Amino acid sequence: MAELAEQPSAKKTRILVVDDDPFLRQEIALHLMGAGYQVETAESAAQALEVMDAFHPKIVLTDWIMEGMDGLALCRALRQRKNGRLLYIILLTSHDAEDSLVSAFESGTDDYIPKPVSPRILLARVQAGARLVRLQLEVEQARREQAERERMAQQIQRAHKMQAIGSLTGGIAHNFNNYLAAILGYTELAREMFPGVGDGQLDEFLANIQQAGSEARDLVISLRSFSSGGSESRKVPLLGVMLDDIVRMLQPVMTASIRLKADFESDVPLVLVNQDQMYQMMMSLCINAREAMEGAGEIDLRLRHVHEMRSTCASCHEWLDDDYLELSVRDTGRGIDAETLQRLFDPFFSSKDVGRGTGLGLSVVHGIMHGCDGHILVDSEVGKGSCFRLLFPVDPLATQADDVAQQGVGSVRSFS
Amino acid sequence: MAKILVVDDEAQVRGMLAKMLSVEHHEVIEAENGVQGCKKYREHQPDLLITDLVMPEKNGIDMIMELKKEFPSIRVVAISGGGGITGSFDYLPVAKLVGALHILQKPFTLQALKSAVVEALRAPGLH
Repeated sequence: MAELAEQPSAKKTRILVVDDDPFLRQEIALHLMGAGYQVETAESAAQALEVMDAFHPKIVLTDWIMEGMDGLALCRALRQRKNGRLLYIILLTSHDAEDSLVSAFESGTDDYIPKPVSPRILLARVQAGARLVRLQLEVEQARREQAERERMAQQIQRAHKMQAIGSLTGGIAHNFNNYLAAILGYTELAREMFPGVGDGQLDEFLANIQQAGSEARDLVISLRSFSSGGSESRKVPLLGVMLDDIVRMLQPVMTASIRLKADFESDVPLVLVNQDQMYQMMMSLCINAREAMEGAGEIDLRLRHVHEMRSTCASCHEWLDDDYLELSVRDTGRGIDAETLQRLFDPFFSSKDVGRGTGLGLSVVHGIMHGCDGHILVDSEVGKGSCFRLLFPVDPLATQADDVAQQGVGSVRSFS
Repeated sequence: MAKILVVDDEAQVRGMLAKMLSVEHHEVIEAENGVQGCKKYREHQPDLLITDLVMPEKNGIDMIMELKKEFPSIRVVAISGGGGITGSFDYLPVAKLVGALHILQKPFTLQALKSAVVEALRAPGLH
């Protein structure tokens, strides 16, 4: 007995005793409590099910024959519950026929104790059950830790990938700008030095080169926004008023069957943003939303202060545990599948048809948000819609945005 | 008409800059990196230095700083494709810090170059 003695922690194992006989119920409970277990009792299967959520037993000891729902039915019901497979269920029974016992095990029972109950058998079998429960918990714990390690490793890998792509695109942008400088420079020189050559046809061709070159330049600017988080320009407080302006500018790119809804909290902490970048991000997100809804649906824009955000950034995968000013764009579109979600922020990755998108929109959003120490969250459900949430860090010492808008900017945190 | 030193490791860009400037009747001297740039600057003492920033051998920032010690009122226009070869660090603002009068982001328009040159030459210089 001494060898099998359980560790003190195992004695705290919670056991639920279910029996409609008050005397037997009481007696079993007393024996178990005497052995150091935490015990709760129920006089019926229905009551047992009610107690489950509050008590969280690891072991359930139930009588077989009871009024209403019997022990086997309770067994089946318990196994159906969330985490029910982890319960250790012992049946008290005076049925010792082979068929009966087999049907008990088939109903999900782990063990049985014959009636009349011998206190020594009771404790020995409960102890064996507690040992199994403990092992199972250890396995479960190890599995969870392993899954967590794998998740972390994956996040680190993805974060590294984003960084690598960032420096790669920065390098590409640099070289492209050199080529474009030569292409556009010589084209402009040619147009200026040789006007009217070939009845103006040459000029027309050169104008086309210039046009294509300018488009390439704009593309490189987008790439650079991704790799560096964008450039310096005018900073304004992120406020509903400014967003209203942006919404007005977005209206023309929406179809008549898309409803743009805006709900901007007025009492928000002060965050300074670059207005052009805000416009660029909102444009990207809203155009994506429009495409996802195939021209009809609702886009819901919201600005609110989120306290103690606990989530992981969708693009850099950093764990977030802070206060943020959140600007969200929710659509009622087709949603994003899990595979696409993984690659959402990769440059040149596009789920749109070839020629419909550059695949840079969200990369730029990633670059701008991280350039200002912000983050992005994405919730999406296939067939229901998606929600992109831009998180701007809030300085706990910052004043309210409204105060500043009225009094002029004082000592506040600013972002590029 | 002025004497202008153009430093850029990209032959295409250097040639294009030289052409743009000679069309404006400037005398153009070319160099393809910071080391050559320093040497040619001392040799020719031009009115203006137009330089790229990310270059092998010696980069534009180091070249400007070195020449600034010898020629405190050196006139510089810095141009860059933005970012480095492998990273996204932007050198143009740094060029401004070390004394470039104007900075131009590649690709730039002929007009932008012309006005940068005119304004830079208007600044008080050595000669």
